[in-house]
Amino acid sequence: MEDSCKRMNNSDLWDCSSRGTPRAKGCVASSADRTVLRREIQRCSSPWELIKKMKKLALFTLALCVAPQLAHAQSGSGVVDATATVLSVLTVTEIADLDFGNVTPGSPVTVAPGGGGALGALQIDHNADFNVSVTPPVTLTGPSPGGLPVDFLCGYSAISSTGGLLAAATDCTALPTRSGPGDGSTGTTFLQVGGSILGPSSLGILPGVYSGTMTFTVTSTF
Amino acid sequence: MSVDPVQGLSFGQVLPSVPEVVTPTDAARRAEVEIRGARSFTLELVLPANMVSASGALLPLSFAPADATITWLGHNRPPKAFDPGTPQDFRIPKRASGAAIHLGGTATPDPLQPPGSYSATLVIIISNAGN
Repeated sequence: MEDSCKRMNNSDLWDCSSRGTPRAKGCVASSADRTVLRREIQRCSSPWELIKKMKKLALFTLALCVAPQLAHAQSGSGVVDATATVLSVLTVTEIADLDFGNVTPGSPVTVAPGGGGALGALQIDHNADFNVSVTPPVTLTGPSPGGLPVDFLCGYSAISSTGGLLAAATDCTALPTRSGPGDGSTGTTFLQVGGSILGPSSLGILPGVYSGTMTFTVTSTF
Repeated sequence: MSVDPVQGLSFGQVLPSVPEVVTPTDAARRAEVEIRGARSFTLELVLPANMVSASGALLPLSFAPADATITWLGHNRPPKAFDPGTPQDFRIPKRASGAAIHLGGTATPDPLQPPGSYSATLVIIISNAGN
């Protein structure tokens, strides 16, 4: 039915090919044939058939409209970072100076970290790991031109400025990284500074006060 | 069509318990992405809820409804604010050569926020791009 309607139009009134007659311009169907054809044309021109045709036309038109959009529709993506640096808590407070006391020429003197006594000490409040660096003096400066030779030792304590150490005392230039609490809270570490003056080092030294300065640099690490 | 990151969202140095806000007008710290080659598109941002440190600590990250703007490149129309949490459809004006997306946000460190460097990745998705 659809196929016949698709082919049917007014020109068919004058087209004899469907009846086996060679198609030729000017061919005129018989009166009876034209009547049949008119009915067919009317049937094919009914509202339902027109709606069917319009639907097909609409779908075709829609396809034409959508096709270019689909052909050019694109997508893509990009990324950027968000960054922040949470600062650490780090305060350094001097607690005490290292004091070797009176030195008898020829006699050794030792102030041992972790062992009490007149240790030098810094209190370090921190919520992150930190490193300590220092360039200790080789001698204490005083009346003797060459000064008083001295060796320094350092260590960390979590207890106090004179209490037990977390690990054995070490050369002050080789202090390990001290860990922070790890949970964001602030903890306290005491850096104890001791040292020794060897007996021979004090022989021939002029009497008087000898002193030196040690500057510790404490740096947070993340 | 191209989606070109220009710069990331940088909160810089923040202190524990002190929220840090970056507005989309903060040229030095806002995130910026340029979109070219499309006249219309749907924009969607994938926004993480946290930045993460190397040790796995989380730093909360949030975006307010006016934390994003779109600016037409080569066009004098003022920036338009939009909610970065909702997909948006845009049509670029004819005389504009593209669009710049600017994004701010808020980092909210906890009072016990572990110190260190934190980062997160923001994803900008463009779809339905047409000419």
